[in-house]
Amino acid sequence: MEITKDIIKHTAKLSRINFTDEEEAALEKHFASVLGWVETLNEFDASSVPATAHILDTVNVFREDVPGEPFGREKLLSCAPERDENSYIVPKVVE
Amino acid sequence: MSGYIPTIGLEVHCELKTETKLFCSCRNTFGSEPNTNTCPVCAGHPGVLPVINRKAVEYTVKAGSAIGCRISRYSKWDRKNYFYPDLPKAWQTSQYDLPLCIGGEVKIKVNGEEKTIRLNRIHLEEDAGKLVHGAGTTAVDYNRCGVPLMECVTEPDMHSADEAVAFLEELASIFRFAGVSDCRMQEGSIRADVNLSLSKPGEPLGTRTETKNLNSFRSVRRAIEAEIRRQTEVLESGGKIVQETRRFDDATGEGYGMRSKEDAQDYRYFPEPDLMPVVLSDDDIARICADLPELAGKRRQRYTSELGLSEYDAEQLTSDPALADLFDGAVSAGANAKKAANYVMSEIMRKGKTAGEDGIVVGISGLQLAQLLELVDKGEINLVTSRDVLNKIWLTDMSAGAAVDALGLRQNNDAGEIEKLVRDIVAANPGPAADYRNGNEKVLSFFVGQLMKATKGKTNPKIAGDLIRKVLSE
Repeated sequence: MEITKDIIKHTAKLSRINFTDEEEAALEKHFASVLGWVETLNEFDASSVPATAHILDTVNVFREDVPGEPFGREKLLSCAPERDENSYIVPKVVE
Repeated sequence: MSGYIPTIGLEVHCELKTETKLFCSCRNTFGSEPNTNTCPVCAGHPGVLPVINRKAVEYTVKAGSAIGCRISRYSKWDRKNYFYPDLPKAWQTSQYDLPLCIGGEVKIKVNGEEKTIRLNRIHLEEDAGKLVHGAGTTAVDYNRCGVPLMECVTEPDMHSADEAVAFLEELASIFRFAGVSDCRMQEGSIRADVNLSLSKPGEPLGTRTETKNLNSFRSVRRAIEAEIRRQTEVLESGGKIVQETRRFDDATGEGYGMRSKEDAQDYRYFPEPDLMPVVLSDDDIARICADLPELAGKRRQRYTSELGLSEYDAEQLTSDPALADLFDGAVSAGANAKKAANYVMSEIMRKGKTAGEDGIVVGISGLQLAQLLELVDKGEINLVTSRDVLNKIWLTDMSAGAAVDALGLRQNNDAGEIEKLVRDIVAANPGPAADYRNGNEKVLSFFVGQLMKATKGKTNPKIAGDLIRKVLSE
């Protein structure tokens, strides 16, 4: 896969990361080499391995629909960078 | 008029009425104090592990079965990545390529014409939190975050606002009867996105827009009508429809574009490594669906064809599963269908409805209602006094008869019959009658006692006393 500037820009945007032009140019190379390294996986003959949606064999891991003890709002809110008495505060989001 | 045909597809989100959230044991309740039903899992803390709520899977399977979906034997979850503060993890745990339910259909009736709306799929995902926009900042409440949400995606089979609303009403009814969701618009437990495009007959579909997050049937109708008008005007004036996500403002009745779809919608779905797939056997599915009750459509049919009710009555009675259950219970306890229907539609609906709320509280059983109606039928109480009886037995297990006695309402309406009994008793007891006439008021109670004995207590004591005095004074 050829790594273009557009792919770098798009990926950076999706990841909410800002790059300078120099960083972007450097990343083009890095990106290509990382992807190239992953490409080596294709050398493995997987034709005898059944397709799976998960790396583990386990299925049907459930919990019963029974409420647990409340965790405590204060403990959670105390981790927030910004908060008021009962809510998380984030920068105003406008759609 | 303009010659354009609208084509509409819906994405309907229904919250499941489980006790707890989809991936953690926080309570799934509406109206709690902000952020009180949260924990590190639904608040998106690092290093936590989600575990699937068995009941949420079962409810989705039930819902799918109720509309004839194929239930997947192998299903899994995926991460839908996006940055928005209503989801603290920066992804929504959803189902991408292997949803729980595939296909299905809902029959609707619009202007007397029956139509089938096909579904594409139902998948089970987590709901997002609630944002409260203030001046300069936004407050986030994660109580709703992680609540189990079914997303039902239709095929583009609807062609008018009427059809879309009829579909939503029918779908909500099916889910309510199946017992999987309250589908309460007021509480946001059912919401819809509308995909809409216009085309000329015989031509390919035009570019579609998606209007997001409509939370009442009325908004759905108005948003569709507004979007049909807008797209028609754009096309008529030679313009092009831009594929975009839109919002509808209920206050102004206008829609507006949000963000262009092209670059924003890259969700980079990938399988959720923290959740194991769900594998269901035929036996599992049969067990889950074993207690699926008779749905509204079937009941309506039975009410009109077997019980002889009008279509209007059948529709009213099936507007809420609790009403339909009450009606069915009363009829199987021996009540006359038409009389039971009338009583449910007048007195019960009046008493059980609270203004501004979607649901209805039904505070009596079918048996209690049947007994109440029997008392009315026999003339022992009338429709007006039946309201007192209803109030007395509401939300209790008291029988209507016991309530009538407790309230002293039981009446023998036939004064002529009572008077005749009184005359017989007086004639058979000349001694006490003479005593009374000589001024002994106390013997009055003897005559009342004799009368009660003769009528097994079914005479109103006041009427009895009056009549005995009248006869003895002659």
